[in-house]
Amino acid sequence: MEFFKESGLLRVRLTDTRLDASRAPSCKQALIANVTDRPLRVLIDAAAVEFIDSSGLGVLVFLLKQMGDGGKIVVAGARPAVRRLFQITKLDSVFKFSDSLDEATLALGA
Amino acid sequence: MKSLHQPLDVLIADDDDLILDMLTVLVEGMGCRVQTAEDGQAALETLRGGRFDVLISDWQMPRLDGLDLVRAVRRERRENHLHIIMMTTRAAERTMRGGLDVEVDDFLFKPVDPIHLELGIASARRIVELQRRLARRNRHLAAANARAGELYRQIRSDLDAAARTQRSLLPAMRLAGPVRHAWLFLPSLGISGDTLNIRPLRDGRQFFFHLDVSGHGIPAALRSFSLHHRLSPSAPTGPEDLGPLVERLNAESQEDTEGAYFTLVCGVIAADGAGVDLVRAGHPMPILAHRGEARFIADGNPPVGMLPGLAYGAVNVALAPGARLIIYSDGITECANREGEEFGEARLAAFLGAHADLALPALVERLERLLREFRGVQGFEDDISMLVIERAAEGDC
Repeated sequence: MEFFKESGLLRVRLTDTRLDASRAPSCKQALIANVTDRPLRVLIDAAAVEFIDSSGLGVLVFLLKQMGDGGKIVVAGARPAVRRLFQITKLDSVFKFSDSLDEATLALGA
Repeated sequence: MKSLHQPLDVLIADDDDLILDMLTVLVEGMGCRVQTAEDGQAALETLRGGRFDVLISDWQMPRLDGLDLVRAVRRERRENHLHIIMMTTRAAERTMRGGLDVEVDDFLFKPVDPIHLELGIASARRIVELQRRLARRNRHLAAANARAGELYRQIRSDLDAAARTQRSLLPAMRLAGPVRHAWLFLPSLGISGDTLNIRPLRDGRQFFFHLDVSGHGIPAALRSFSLHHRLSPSAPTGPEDLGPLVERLNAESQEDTEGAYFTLVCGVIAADGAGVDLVRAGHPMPILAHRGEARFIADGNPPVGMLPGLAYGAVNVALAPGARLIIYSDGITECANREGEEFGEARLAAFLGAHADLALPALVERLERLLREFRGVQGFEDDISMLVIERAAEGDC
């Protein structure tokens, strides 16, 4: 997981190809260490992720809960298999999706 | 068992009294406890009656010679190490090889040179101490292993008992009447984070739920156990009660500090089985199977316990006579084979569509067999469960 503070938003790049039960605890630790000032707008670059499971979803929800009220997350570049899990679990109503980083930045109004 | 640095117990066998006396003085001078025997047979009997670390034996003796003595000793004492030093006049290589063959450890040449004797005893002492250390470590390992084995059996038996308790919560299968049901329940670890129930309400309707707690193992199983008891007494009067029921669960579950959440389908079946009202909360999409067709019910809301303040709503699904509603955990669709390929929704839907004629118990058995064959290795990574609700076909009540 890599963190970039850019103008008006926090960009989080997911570096693992799998975001599952084995990776979830260390990802949560990384979020606790790096997301400190309750950001309002977060862009998640998910292009590298090939597989996500329910524990992985838990990590993103954990991030959402760390954000201030009215916080907004846009997930960019998610592959179909990843997006599918968001659809099945109906979390696509909580997270917004964009095909590209530029589009996501625009959607976040940054 | 001897302590590590106890003096060596040495038996010296020789038919020459003078040599026996001289060796005894020398070996005792090296801090050893010494006994003597005047021939091979006497030595063998003394060895049988005591615990010796070292045998110093002459080669040629009456009754039983050195070589036969060593052969007999090695045959009898397989467990406890005995360090054997053979005394011989400077001999041909062939003679010494005979000693090696019967597992003599060292040779002393006659006349015995005290410094060689001291070297031989010092070397014996190091080997015997190593043997004692090894024996002590083996005893400790065996004891630790026995304790670990006992603990494992205890945990295993506790888990088995917990698994039986959890299974006893599941409803009896119902294979007759206007509305029937059957289930599949395969915990990955004996106990499961999945659970399900279906029970009658007063007016002939039935309330059912199927849920899957995130994570695996004992924490998830405990949570599913408590949710089972929380949900089972629910008695919604109509579809409008289902959403608020899940909203209350969602509010209660926000306090879970471990961040565990669960996915759920719960609902009510009409007394005649003609319709089902259900809420889907992050759970895999239920499948409606009828006459060879299988379709997914996509309506739903996010999992329970993830985010506060979410709204949940019920949808109505009509069940034609002979139709089945199948609710399952992601352990089925995400069950992966050796190549990492998942069983998947399409395969499950195809199976359910193709086996509409199969009676419920056979359907459940067939799916279990199919999953095990697909998986190809022993056991499942995630808990597997499924609830099938069927409206009886016309003329089949």
